[in-house]
Amino acid sequence: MYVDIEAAKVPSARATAGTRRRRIRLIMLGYILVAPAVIWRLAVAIYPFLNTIWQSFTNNSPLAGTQRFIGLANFTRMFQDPVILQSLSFTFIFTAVSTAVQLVYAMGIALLLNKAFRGRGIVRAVNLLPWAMPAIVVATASQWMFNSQFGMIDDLIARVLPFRPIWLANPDLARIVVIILDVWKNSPWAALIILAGLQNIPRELYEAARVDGASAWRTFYSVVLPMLAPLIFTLLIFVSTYRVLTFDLVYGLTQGGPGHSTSLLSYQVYQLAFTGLYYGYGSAVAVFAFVIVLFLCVVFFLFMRRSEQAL
Amino acid sequence: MSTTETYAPPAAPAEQRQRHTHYRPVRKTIWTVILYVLVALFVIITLLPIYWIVLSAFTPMSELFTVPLNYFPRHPSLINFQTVAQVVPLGQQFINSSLLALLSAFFSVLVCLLAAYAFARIRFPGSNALFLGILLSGYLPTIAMIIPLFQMFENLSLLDSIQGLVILLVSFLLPTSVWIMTSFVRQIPIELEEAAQIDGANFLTTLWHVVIPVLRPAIATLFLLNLVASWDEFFFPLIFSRSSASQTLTIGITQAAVNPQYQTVAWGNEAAMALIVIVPVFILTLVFQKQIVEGLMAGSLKG
Repeated sequence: MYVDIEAAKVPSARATAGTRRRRIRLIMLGYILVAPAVIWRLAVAIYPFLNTIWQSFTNNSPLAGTQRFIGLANFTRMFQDPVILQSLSFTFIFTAVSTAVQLVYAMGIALLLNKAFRGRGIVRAVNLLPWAMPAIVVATASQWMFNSQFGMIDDLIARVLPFRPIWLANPDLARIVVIILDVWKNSPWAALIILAGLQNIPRELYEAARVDGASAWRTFYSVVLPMLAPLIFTLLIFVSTYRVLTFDLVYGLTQGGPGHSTSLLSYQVYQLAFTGLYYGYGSAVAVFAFVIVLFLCVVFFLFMRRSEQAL
Repeated sequence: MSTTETYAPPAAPAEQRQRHTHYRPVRKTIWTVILYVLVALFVIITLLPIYWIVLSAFTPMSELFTVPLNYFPRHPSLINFQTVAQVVPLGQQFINSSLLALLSAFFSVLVCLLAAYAFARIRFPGSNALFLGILLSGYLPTIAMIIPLFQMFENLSLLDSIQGLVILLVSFLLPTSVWIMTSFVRQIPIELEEAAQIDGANFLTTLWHVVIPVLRPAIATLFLLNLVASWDEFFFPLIFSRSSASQTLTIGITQAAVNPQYQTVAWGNEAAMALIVIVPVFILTLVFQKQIVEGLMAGSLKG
C-alpha cells in the first residue's frame, strides 16, 4: 500500500541551496499546502468517527432527553437483539459469498479481456457500464426485473422451466438476489484491477512455462496466481470491506426485507439512527461494523505481506 | 496471439498435452469457439439488464404488464418520460446532480493536488504520518460517522443544501484522490522543476507553470473519476437532503415509481428515470474510456 516516501522525496534544501530561513519557509509552505486536505478529513471524517465511538457509550436520542453515559449497555443489548443478530449473520454470509463469487467472476472476466479477440475494445467498454451505474438504479430496476409476475428473469425462466420463483418475498431467494446484483455491479471494477495485474506479468514467464511444457491450468496456478497474489489480497481488502458497508442495494431492492432477512449492518444503522432515532444504539452497531472492517483489513494486509515475501 | 492457448482457464488433460503438436489446429479452433462463446455470454449478462431498462423506458405502461413479455417495443413512446416529469422535479434535480458532481470533482481535485504536491516534493516534519493518516482515514466507514455528521450539519444549518453535500463528498473522495495524485506527481521528472527554480521561479509559480501543465492528463482522469462517483452518490443526499433544494436525480429514482393512474408501482416511470440518470454517466464513461480505465488501474496498481 505504501511507497517509500524518502526515496521519492526531493532533496529540496540542496537543490535550492537556500538559507535556513528559506528552508523554514518551504516547510511552512508544505503545511499550508496539505492543510486543506488534512483539515477537511479531520473535521468531516475523523472527528465524526471519534464522536460515533463516544456516542456508542451513551443513550443519546432526540427522544431520550438528556444524554447519559451508559458504558457498554448498547453493546450488550446489541448481542441480545434478534434483529441485529440476524443482520450480523447476513452481513457475514453476504461478505463471504459475494466477495468470493466476485473475485472468481472478476478473475474470469480479466482473463477473458486479456485475450486477443475481435471487438475486445468494445467488450472492455461494456465492462465499464455496470461500474458507472449508480447502485440505487441497479437496485430499483432489479426490483422489477425480479418481479414474479411481469419481471424479465421469471419470464426467461418460465420459458424453459415450469416455475416462477417469487424472488423478493422469500428470505433465501431475496438474499441470493442481493448477492447476484452486487456481483453484477461490482465485479467489473475488480476485473479491471486484476486485468492491470495480468498485463504487468512479464511475457517471459509465460514463455518459460510453455518451454517447460506446462499446461494452461498449470501455468495459471503456478505462474499467474502467485504473481497476482499481492494484488489479489489488496483487492480483497477493498472488496470485502465494501461488502460489509453495502447500503444502496439493500435500500433500493428489499428495504432489508422480507422480515429482516436482507438487512445488512449499514442498513440497520440507518434504520436505527434515522427511523428509530436511536443515535447511541445506532452508533454502537456502526462501531461494531468498523471493528469488522478493521479485522478484514488487518487479515488481508498480513496475507498480502506474506504473499509479497513469497515472490 | 501465441498466448491464446498458454493459459486458457480449463485444463488440458495430460495425454492430450503430449500429442499437442498433432492436434494443434483442431484444438485451436475449439478454443477460439469457446472464447467467443464466453465473450458473448459475458456481454449478454452485462447488457441484458441495461437493455431491459431502455426497453421499458420507451414502452407505454399498458404494454409493460403482459405475459409473456415483449422483448421489442411494439409501440415505442415517450409517455413514461412525460409522466415522470410530472411526478419528479426533474429539472431541479438535474441541476442539483450536475452542480454536486462538478463542484465535488473540482474541489476534491484542487485540494488533493495541493496536498499531493507537498507530499511528493517537500520534506517537512510529519509529512509521512499525515500522508498515511489521510490514506488510512479512507478506511473509516461512512456509516460510522454519519450520526455525528448529521448532528453537526443540523447545528451548522447545512442540511438540505448543495454546499453541505459538496463538503461531505469532497471529504469522502479525498483519501483515494490524494493517494492517486501523489503517485502521479512522483512520476514527473524532478529536473523540470529544478530548471524552473534555477530560473528564479518560486514554488507556487513552478506548481502553476510547470507541474500543472505536465499533470493535465492526470488531473483530467481524477476529475472524471470523482465526477462519476459524485453523480452516482445516493447515501449522502438520502440523509442530508429534505427538499428539491438539494435532492439529486439518484433520490428522484426512489420517488419516480408513484403513478396515481395505476395501482401498481409505475415501472415505466422508474425505467425512464433510471435512463435519465445513467445516460450522462454512460456517455462520459464511453467517451473518456481510456482515461477512466487508466485512473482506476493507477489507484490500485501501486498497492
